[in-house]
Amino acid sequence: MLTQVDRGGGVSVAAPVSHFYRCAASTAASRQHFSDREESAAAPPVTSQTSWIDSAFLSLRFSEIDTRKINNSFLRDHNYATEADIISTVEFNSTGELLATGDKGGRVVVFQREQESKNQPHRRGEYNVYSTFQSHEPEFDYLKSLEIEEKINKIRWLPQQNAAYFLLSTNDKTVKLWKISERDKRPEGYNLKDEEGRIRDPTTITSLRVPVLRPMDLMVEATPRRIFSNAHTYHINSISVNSDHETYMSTDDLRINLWNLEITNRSFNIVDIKPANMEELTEVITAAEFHPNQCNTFVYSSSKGSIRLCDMRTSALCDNHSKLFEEPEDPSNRSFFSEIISSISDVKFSHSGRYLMTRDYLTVKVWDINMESKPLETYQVHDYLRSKLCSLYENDCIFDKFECVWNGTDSVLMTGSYNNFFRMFDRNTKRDVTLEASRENSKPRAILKPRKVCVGGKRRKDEISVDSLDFSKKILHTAWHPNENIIAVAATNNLYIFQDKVN
Amino acid sequence: MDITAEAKQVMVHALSKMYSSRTQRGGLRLHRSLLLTLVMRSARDIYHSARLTSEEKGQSDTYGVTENTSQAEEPMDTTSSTTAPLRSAATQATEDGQRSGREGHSQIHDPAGLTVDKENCNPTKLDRPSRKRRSKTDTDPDFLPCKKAKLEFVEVRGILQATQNNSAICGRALDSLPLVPMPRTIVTF
Repeated sequence: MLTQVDRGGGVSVAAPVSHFYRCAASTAASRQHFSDREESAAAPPVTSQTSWIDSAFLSLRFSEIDTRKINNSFLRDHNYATEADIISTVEFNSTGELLATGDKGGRVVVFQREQESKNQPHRRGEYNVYSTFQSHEPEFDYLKSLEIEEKINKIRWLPQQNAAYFLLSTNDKTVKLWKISERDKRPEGYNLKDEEGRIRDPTTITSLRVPVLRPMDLMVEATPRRIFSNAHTYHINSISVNSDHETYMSTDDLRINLWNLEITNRSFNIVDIKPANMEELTEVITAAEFHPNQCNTFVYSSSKGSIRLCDMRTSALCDNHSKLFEEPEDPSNRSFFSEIISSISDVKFSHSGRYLMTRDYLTVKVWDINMESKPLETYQVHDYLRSKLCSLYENDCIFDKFECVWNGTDSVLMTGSYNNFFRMFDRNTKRDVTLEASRENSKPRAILKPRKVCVGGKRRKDEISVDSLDFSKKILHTAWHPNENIIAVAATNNLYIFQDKVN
Repeated sequence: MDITAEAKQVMVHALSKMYSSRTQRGGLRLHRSLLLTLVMRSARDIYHSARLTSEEKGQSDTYGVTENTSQAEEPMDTTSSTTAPLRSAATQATEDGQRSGREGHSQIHDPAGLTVDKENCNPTKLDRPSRKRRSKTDTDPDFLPCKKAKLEFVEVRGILQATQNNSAICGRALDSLPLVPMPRTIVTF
């Protein structure tokens, strides 16, 4: 699919889907809004505008106080949400220049950060639509009478090696490698066909000319370069590119396959936890990831709350783990739903490779890969839900799979919650904050106000009670720029991009 | 009896979720089915242990019925053709395992409507799925041998193995997907 990108700032897109996204225009006004919450009580007094997050919270020092904040949001212009527009994955590339989102309708939308320009310093670093394409289509497996959903489960970028960008996108069964490249020249002056491509009548050709390349309006095209299919019986839940830049792995409920990026007709099975008798099945794989630096090491998480670290050098089939990270269950917390809430929904290596972060239904845990017996740190995301598990089970929310992300320096963790809330935890200061991704506070340059859920007793003004939380508004997917404090938050069918203030 | 009522509710919900997941787009989700199975098991265990303690305390059994030795369902395979139909005593309605994905109607039964006298009190359930299409008036107990069902089982298994041979070329040979055997019996109330 071709996307016409007008570098002047507006975007006109050939594909029909682009009109769903609108970049919030930047205005001069910005709003300061602070509430006296406990978590900000200890913050240094703020005299004027400050960053979108409690500045001390992030332990970042901003030497200048600048009034221009930029909030980019890509919000649907209509209020109804079509299911196909629900964002199902968000991922920055390795430089943070590009941001890819996948949705339930099988589409991928790639945003590109604007280059900073001296003429318009206030437009620093806004993200605009760069390319949109249909990655996966719904398929029907006739043999099993199964429809294969086109929903994009994961997108992972490949490290950039030339002018083109490459990403892997996957649905339940098939992984595709897409090449996104720019074209700004086109050949003109063919002999046998005219400018529209129609074949010319040979009898009208009286002379020969050499076609030349002439500049044209920039076009961004996405082409599928590899299709890796037919390797998974169960539903693919993750893909991870290896640090060797040659291989990647795809993970379904029971197996992990290793692929070479060049070869599509063969993959190697490196983990298989399928029992000989399916009746004995007790756990499934929920996520897997390669170590960021060691190309022989990867981890996978299970529905039982354990993480296994494997070394591919030990054997061809890594069913035997090198390390098993498991915390003994707290018997006092036992309930009907203990197994469901201990299932790990996401596992991420820190950028350093030294730590692991896991997300289960109520907590985020940080593990040191040198210590298997228990996590280093445990953070409660929304412990007030612990007493509501029965109703969350009835409305299916207990099965929601939240993701978690590290910031670039591995000092802050971020994960989503309900009511369009998302949470951040600072590992150093042990402070945490709850923020909301909503239209009201996504006016350009609006500062995000910390939110608080009150668990009982007297509800203060501006607090929200647990029973008023909207469980249909869940933030499952978030991403953090690899180097800067820019975050992308997917709230159902809207994408919010928040940045800290301009320095 | 609060905890037993709660356990019953949990099991009821798990059953209805399992039924509705059969007609879901994308096929059965193994992870979700596994979690539902675990919830059912843990609710059943809690229910039984609670009832045991209540019986020991000499309270009368309000249900007055011999409980079936219930065993939990097996986790569902993602292939709908191997979906073992959930068998609950009152489900005389269709439990067509291999056509579940295509059928427009999904029988969401209210297990709370289970009545005792229709209960299958057969603890020695034959370990095979019943492929027989059941109508509401069909009260044939399934422990009776049904030749037709067996044949379909074999056919379907053959188709599955053919599927396996055609699918992914992995570094390891794919073992054939075993059909999920019939769950023995659903917890009854």
